Amino acid sequence: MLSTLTHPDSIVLGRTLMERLDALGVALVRTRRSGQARVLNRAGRAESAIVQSGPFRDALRRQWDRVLKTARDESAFELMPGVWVRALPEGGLVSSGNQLAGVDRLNLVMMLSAAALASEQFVVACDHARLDVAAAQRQVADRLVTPEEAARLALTLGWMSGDDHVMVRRQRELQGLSSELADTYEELSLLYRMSTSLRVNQSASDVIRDACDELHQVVGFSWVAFCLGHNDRLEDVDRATVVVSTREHDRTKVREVADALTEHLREQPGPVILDDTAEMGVLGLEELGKNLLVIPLVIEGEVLGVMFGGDRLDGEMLSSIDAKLCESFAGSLTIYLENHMLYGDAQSMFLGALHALTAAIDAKDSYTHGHSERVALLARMLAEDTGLDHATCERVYLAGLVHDVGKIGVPEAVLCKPGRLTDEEFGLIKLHPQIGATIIKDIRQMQDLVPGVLYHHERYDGRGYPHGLVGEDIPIFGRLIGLADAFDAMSSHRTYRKALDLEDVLEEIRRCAGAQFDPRLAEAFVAMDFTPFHQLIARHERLKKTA
Amino acid sequence: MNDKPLVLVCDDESHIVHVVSLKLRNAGYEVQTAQDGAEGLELARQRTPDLLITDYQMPRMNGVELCAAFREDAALAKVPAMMLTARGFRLDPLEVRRARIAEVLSKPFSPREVLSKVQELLAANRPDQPEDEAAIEVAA
Repeated sequence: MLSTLTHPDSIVLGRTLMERLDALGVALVRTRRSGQARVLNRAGRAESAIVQSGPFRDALRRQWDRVLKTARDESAFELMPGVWVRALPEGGLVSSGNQLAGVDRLNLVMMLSAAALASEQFVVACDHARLDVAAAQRQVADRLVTPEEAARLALTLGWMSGDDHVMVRRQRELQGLSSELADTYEELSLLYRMSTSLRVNQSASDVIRDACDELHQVVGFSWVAFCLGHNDRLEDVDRATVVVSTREHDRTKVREVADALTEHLREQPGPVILDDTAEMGVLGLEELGKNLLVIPLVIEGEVLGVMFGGDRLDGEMLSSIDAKLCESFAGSLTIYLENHMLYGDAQSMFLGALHALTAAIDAKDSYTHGHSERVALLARMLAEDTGLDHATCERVYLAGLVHDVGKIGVPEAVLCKPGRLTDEEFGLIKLHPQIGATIIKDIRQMQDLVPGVLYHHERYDGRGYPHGLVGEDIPIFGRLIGLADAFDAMSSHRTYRKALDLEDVLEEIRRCAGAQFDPRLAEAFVAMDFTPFHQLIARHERLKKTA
Repeated sequence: MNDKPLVLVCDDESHIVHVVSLKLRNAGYEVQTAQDGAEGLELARQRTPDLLITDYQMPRMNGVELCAAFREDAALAKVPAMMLTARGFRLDPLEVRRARIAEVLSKPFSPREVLSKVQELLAANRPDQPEDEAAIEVAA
């Protein structure tokens, strides 16, 4: 068998000591001050007979203190003729000898020398146990020791027993340390997951909910609540209240307490451990729990909410380690929320700038007011209906917004001219897809929109411009935006004609499927629900009036 | 007979062994431990474990070699294996498949996660249970 003493499997202590005593032929005896005694290991019947005999009991009772002394002076003591005993110190007794006086129970080792077999007491013991004296003598003959050997064995066994106690203690310590280490691993892996898994483009409410679930499982609190106050820039988690608990909680109550705590922490922005919630003076707090940890959520330097929880499931009081873990956890989450806000800012700034740009283009021609936004909306709706993924649909929307950006390079006199255009004028108009593509192609974040801008005037039958591409050779962005663009043009007033009815426009699209439009897209388009489109038009009309 | 499932844990870092064993023992498993792959294989041949959890980097015989040795031993071939590796250490997926390593977790791992994977793997690897039930039904 492989021995792995440094591993948790190693030994079940005590049993090993007994096995060793068995092998040495030494009896291990459990005794009491009253004289009661019992052999614990597999020593022979003779030894059992001795310790249960009247003379042994009398001797033990009378000389208890002398026997106790052997624990300290490491000697063997001849309790009866040829019967040598040595008390085994229990853990801690070795160093503080004066405590021995009050000890009422004791394990001792017992060795026999030749004198024992010849003694009158041995005969009494055998008689009492109905053992044949001669047979008992033969049985123990090979285990006999000399008084000198007894002294040496006593010394060695004392050391061994002492080591045994140390090992038991170490084993217990090791268990404790392992358990703490396991908790630390758990915490470390929680924080690691937090630091690697928080993505700014995830929904903030999902992130907070998942994170609190994890914390609740790791930290061993009976409940954890995470409450944010109001913030314009955190729309989806504005006044969010997340409670993870092993029992039911009234969320409104939690919310009220959270608001009160948030106020309270404004003056003292650090984690607080409350051993008794009654002392805090926050209304309703006592009902939530007794032993609580409260961590302020500081976002951009301001206390914007609290994370609190507690009443450990194992009944222990909260410690500074709990506080540290929760503080790091809350820190990670607030950094995430700050980044989420900045990401949102950047997103809305980008979109705002794009909308301003397209509005400026559309404004060049009063008839195309809101055109780019409508094309963007229609192209995205169509993209969604044809099963493109969410991210692509969003890009189609942006491409729709900027599809006419090249018109900035076309003279206003041409764009706004009522009536027919000359070939030369039409030639100028036809340049706008290329001008647009040139404008955006060097903006890294917009390079993928170029096909939508460049090819939105191509036709499925190859008679479009600028390149006369045919069928599926026209990039999907170009086909989507081309169709949306044609639809919006037909359904709006233009300098040269009046707007057509929706049904007429759809009929026209059906008629041109396969010629001007991708037939598959045309089929999906005419089946669309145009409510969002009409809502957008209504909004534009309202804005126009108030302007 | 002892009906606790036996898990063999091999790692040369004793703190890992202590943490994993503690978690598993508290959850009612019997745990045997070894300090490297060679010792683990020897223990497994003496008594077939229900599951193997091994580190990758160990002296004498590494974790993948240990799993491969399990696969070549008729008695151990079907024992599910789970591997713990240092964070950021990339195992060759082909090697992982070949040694039939069911789960790879990176350190620092969550002991809770280790336990739940152990439970999953042992539940998945117990085809004899429904058969036993069927046998009882027939007997009844």
